[in-house]
Amino acid sequence: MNRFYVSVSTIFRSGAAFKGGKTHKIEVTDADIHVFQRAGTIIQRKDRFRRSTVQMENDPYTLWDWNEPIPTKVHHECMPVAPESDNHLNEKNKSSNQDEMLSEYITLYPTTDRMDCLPEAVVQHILSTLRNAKDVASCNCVSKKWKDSMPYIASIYFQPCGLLPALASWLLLVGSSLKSLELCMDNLAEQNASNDSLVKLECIQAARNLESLRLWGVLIVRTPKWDVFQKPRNLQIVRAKLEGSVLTETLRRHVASNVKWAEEDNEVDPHEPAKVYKVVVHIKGTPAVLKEIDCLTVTVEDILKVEACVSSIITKEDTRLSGFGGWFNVHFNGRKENPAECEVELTTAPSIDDGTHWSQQVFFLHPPVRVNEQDEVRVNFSMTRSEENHRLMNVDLAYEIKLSSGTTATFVSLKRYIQLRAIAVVIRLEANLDGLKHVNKVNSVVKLLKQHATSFASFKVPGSENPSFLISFATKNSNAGQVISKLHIIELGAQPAGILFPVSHVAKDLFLVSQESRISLPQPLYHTQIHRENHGITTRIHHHGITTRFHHCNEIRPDLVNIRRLVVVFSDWVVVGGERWLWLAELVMGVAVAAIDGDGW
Amino acid sequence: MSSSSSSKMIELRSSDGETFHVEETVVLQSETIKQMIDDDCANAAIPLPNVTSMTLAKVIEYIKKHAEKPKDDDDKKVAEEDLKKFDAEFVKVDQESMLFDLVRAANYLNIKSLLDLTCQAVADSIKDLSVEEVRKKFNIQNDFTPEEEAKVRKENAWAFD
Repeated sequence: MNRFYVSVSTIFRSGAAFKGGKTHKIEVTDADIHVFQRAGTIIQRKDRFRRSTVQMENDPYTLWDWNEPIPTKVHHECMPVAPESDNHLNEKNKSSNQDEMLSEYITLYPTTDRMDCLPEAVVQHILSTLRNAKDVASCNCVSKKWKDSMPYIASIYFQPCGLLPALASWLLLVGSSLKSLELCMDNLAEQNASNDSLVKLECIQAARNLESLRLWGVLIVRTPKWDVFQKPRNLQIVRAKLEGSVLTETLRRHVASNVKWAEEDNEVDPHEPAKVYKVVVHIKGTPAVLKEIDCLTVTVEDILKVEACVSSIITKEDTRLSGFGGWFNVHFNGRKENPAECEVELTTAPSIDDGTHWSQQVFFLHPPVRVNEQDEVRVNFSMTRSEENHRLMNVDLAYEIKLSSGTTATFVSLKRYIQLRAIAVVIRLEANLDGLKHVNKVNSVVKLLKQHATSFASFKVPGSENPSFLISFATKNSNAGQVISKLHIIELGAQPAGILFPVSHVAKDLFLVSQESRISLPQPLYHTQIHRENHGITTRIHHHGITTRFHHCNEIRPDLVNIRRLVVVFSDWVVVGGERWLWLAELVMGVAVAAIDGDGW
Repeated sequence: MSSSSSSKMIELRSSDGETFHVEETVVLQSETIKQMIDDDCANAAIPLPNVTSMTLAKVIEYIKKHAEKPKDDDDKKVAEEDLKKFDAEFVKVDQESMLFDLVRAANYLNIKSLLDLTCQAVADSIKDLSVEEVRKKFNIQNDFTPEEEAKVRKENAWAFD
């Protein structure tokens, strides 16, 4: 029997030896309290640093052999689940000769070159860095533990081989963790009989959390259900055969949903494989202004119909015209009597550096038209509001291409329906605050909002019973060094009658008031009741006999913040500011709150 | 260097009793040691019972290299290139066991970049190996029953053409 006792100090495992059978005095600090074990015992511990013991439940045990005064280093980390280690432990425990057991254990599995001696998490980490599907498959067959580690793979690259049957079963297994999938099947594009593979490719849907999908040399004839992917960020289809409608459908969807997707070089040619579709829409002609709107003088009649005939010169040699892009620019130049010191332009034009968060309206042409430098594209554009749904616009777009050689080559007419948003027109927006007459402390509000070039106007829109109020303002925010400028157009009360929420559309808009302005409600107001309705959150505010219903318009962060200050009251509506939000509120009872105090304004 | 004179030195002791003196700023790359320093436990030599002196020397070489800060932008590019080269050379160890020791040390010391680097190196060595070769190379026990193995091999048969 050993007569040494070994200090197994909690932190540093000092391993100092103390002879048994007598009293020792040992200094103890808070951080280092000694625990003694008889020399030679094997101590199983869970040595991983974790935030809580609950998380340690499945951790492997590390076996420590405190044999000699100087502690032996970690011999082995054995997983609680690993059968081979369990067997050994059990058998040998019967003979209770632990030293022997351990030494035998070690000779059975020498510590050099052993992947097994690595903690499970590390093995998983190593295996998760494998990218080639072939290697992954090999490792799958190596051992049970390895097989179990496979679901953590984040990214797989499939090389061309007849692997589609495997892919399906695979994705079922690893699907949920997979973030990036690259399928490279160059041979597929050559195989004409593609129906089989088509069915198989649908298994990609198992990878719901996929963020990046790259398909090389695939043939797609039906539109995949892109909806199943919850957070797609990056979709690249390279050297693919895409049947026409699939492509336009895919592109449209992704342009609409603002997924980073568009084509590089504007060359969307479904029949010619070998195209990389990437993020940026390249502009190949000179931009042309379709319509200018002066928000100071605009009337409903002015914008009922947008008609324009513009022309654009192609600026790139021998290329293809695949569509038209539409966007808007806003010039903030003040009013005649009070002009802005320097004009500010908010542009939502597409650019290579992704300067705007706005997605542009794109009208794709199919098939694309071959054009050359100096060719002139003439576009007849007409946009009217749909009779049935006033949020929809009917767009008629006809174009002809006048070749630089002088002949007119093409004339095509397109019809499109688009959702109402400020597109394809250049809006001229100037500060017009005349609608704010019954606002308390108009001046300060004007001052405040003027930085944001606000415009308020009231007009009646056909198809809607109620008059509409239009509030628009632009904001400039800087977030982590990135300056984001936004134009907000809020349309109030323009809903067809009968809809519960007069401002439900507003819920789709994001209102960000720049940090500096920090408008907020006066302190005495507080929200007492919150419930969710429609797309937003409605807050009722009771105070001093005033009940106000607030509709929270921000979908990005639905959680509520304290409303601190009233900003604007006009008609039956109040606009209030949270710390970074503008809210729209309906006064349910009482009148506008005259509680704006002087400080901070 | 000016930083070296002002910086506090931390003493590390490997499992075989050898001590190493490293600047605190350098050693902070290890989350484990950082935690100890934060907890004020690093006044005496920090024993690292999991790490042999040979491995520790390598680890220190790595973190020292990675602690170097480029002076300006031009320098930065050169330094990045240099670091890449260094990393590539660093994982070219003679014995595979050394690589595993490094992985383990990186894991224990919680140095993420080193862990990633070494893990990637291990993963790279798996590339294009057959199942048997992997088992042999890494000394892994085949714990499948023959039936299970047949099944799993069938599932993954496409990879073995």
